[in-house]
Amino acid sequence: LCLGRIKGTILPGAPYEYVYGRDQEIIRCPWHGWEFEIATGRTYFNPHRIRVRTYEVTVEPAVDDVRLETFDVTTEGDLVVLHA
Amino acid sequence: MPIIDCDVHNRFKGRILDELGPYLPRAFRENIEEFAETGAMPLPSAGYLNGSNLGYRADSWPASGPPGSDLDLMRAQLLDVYNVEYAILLGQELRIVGALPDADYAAALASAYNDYLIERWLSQDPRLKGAVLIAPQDVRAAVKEIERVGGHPDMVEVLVSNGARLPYGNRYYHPIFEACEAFGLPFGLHTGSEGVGINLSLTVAGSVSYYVENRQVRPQGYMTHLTSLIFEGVFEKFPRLRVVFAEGGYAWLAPFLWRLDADWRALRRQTPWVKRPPSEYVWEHVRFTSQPLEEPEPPSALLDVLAWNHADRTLVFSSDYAHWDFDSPVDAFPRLPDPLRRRIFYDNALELFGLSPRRPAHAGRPTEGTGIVHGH
Repeated sequence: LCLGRIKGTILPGAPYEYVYGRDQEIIRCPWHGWEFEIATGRTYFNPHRIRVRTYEVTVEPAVDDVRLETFDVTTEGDLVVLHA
Repeated sequence: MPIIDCDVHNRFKGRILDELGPYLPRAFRENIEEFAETGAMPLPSAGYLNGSNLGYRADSWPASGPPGSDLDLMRAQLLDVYNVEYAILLGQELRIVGALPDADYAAALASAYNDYLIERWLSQDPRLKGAVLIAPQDVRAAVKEIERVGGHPDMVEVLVSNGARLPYGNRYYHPIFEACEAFGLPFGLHTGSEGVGINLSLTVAGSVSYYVENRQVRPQGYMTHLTSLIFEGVFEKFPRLRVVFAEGGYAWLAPFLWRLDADWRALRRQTPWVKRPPSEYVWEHVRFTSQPLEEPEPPSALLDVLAWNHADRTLVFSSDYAHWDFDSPVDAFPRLPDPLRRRIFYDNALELFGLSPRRPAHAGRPTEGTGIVHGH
């Protein structure tokens, strides 16, 4: 899922109307294109029942700790810590 | 238990033009009499054979006229013997009007038929209800026809054929749905007219050669119309609209919807007005008549099909009287749980057509006086 593209989506509306919104709030699964809300992990089509597991994420000061598996991300000088 | 039969075929007793003539504008009547090469009303045909006995139960031929043309015999063979509280008459010969190249002629025939239906059938027995036949070639004329006779208390449906020039969800047809909704009439499709006249081919590969094949490919058209109705947003735009598919199979429904629901999850944003899984629109808005009921192997598998298809909401009984492949209300179904049986044979149709029970006592005591003996 982390390889999915981050986009907005076309919002539910009246027949034959296309309204784009939620820009940068939606990640699309790279396989079938299911849309997930990044903030909650919930699918756009069925947020109450179908979602991916989410983890708390915080941005913390950089430390040199070999127990941490790190990934290349862009931060403004700090570490992103995934609390799995 | 009384039942409602949602697909019964009334027919003309003699020459169609003789019986329809009084209801046709003089211009059309005289044009037929003067210019029709056969001397009869020109109606196109797909050219297939039909079932045994010229397509009808051997015992359904009245003393004069074809099967389905004699109300007394219809009473004796269907309405009385099976405790039919309502029978929905879907006609026969004139359902082809949608295939005619001349939109005005088609609309005139449909109007004449509707007047004939009201006067010669619906007014003759309180159990008979009818469908407003429309010619979809001219949507404005179709809407006018619904407005003209759709308010008649015995008209409970609007009717077209499976054969078409565009899938029925297309925006071209939406004024028809607006009228259906305004009059509280379900939009009904009956198989037939595919590949005839101006209508498009029976299948994507053209016409099959034989009648037995023709019968089995009907669901292709219904699948097309159904997905079109869902994805063109018809049920979002007309939230009170109901659609009923007659005589085009039923067991295909659930597998079709499984696929559709799965695809909708991935492709939802291409049609963002489809806000719910496709299956949910079907459960709420779409109904299917039962005949010819599928016969799974093993037969008990039918109960699975009924569960998958939410038959307690989506299935309405039909006999197809007096056709050769008539489904008996007594013998066609395997034993069903009573509540489900009641939904299929009575309640679903009562709700679909906005009918009232003719005998109020029935509403409070659903199991009393059952005239139906379970088959098998």
